[in-house]
Amino acid sequence: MTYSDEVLMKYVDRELDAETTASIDAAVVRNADLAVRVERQRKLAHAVHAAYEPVLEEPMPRRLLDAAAGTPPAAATARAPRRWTWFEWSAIAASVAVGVVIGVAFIADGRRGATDTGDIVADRGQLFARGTLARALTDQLASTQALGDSVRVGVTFVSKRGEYCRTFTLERGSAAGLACGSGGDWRVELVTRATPKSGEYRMASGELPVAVQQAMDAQIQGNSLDAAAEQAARQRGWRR
Amino acid sequence: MTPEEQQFRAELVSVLPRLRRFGRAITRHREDADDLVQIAVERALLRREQLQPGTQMLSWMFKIMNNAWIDEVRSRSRREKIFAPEESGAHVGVSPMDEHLDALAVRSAIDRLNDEQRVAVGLVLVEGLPYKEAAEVLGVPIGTVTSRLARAREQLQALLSDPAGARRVQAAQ
Repeated sequence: MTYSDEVLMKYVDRELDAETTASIDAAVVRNADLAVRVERQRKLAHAVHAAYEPVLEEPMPRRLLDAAAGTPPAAATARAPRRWTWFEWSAIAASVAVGVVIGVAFIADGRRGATDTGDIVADRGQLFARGTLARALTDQLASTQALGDSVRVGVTFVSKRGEYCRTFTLERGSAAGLACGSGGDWRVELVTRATPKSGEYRMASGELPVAVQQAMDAQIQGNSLDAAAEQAARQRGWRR
Repeated sequence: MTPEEQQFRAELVSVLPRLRRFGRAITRHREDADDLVQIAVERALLRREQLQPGTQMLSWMFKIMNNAWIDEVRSRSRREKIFAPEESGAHVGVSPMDEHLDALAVRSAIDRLNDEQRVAVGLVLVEGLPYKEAAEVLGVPIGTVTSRLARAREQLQALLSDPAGARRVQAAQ
């Protein structure tokens, strides 16, 4: 019985039925030429597989990990949804009144502060708080801020990166976000429209936008700061 | 992120190394391969609900990669014209009967297969898929996979065993 190269290929790839496989097993023992042809097929298959094996050991590019995991791996671990304390709820209660216009100035050439006209500026691919927003993040305490403040600071916590982070709400709850940083230089991690679902005072019930809540859940390390810890952190100039 | 999405993403992360390996085999270029993986990951996330329960994540991703390769990445591939004869000549002449085939020579030979043959080799020989699964990934009958593989192996044997064979293959392309 002669076997074509295609059959021998399928034999090597274990794609033949048991009966044909057994007959080739037996024939290889008796037929040296056949054994050479099978060995040739096997060597090639092995060599092809081995040639790409090292790719598995290469370091994984960050961009692929981020694309697949959705968040930097350190923050990707699952967390149970947090329960909000009365303190946190009251801290993110509605801010009614005085508006702050959130202006986003893009600094095309990356020179920080070149056009520092808005409350949030883009600089080297990141957003930073400026002006009223920056002052509120640095100076305001959730426990003492006035109802009429144009920026309301919400929850303060320490992130997994070891920085202070604070949630904030802008004019009448129109936008909300999360800023993190050290030493009073606040990087805006997220800012989102906080569209009231039913009426202007919806945010008063403590409905932090889902996106902000998720960002916070992903980044928080331990519990949020209580009033005393928040005050102490401000006294240290937001340095840890 | 919902628990389902987290689970899905975790699975994606776990198959990334193999997606890169398959990508390397079919694109023949490291950066093209990583671009292809990234595009496939992004598409997969958009079509998450299309992954039927019980379907292998890996096969599904290979399919997305193959489609993305055909209709997007291939046309803007960084990889330029396939080897000059002098360059390939440096790697051929190694007999497949040698105990250790030079990995570089093997990859160079695979690089010179046509796209269909190279994808079949990538799925079956590099990634170890059964012919049936490879056929499902490609959306072709199993016999088509078999014949592509058989032709690919003939060419690889020719390319790797003697320079004359390599030249014949090259002339035929």
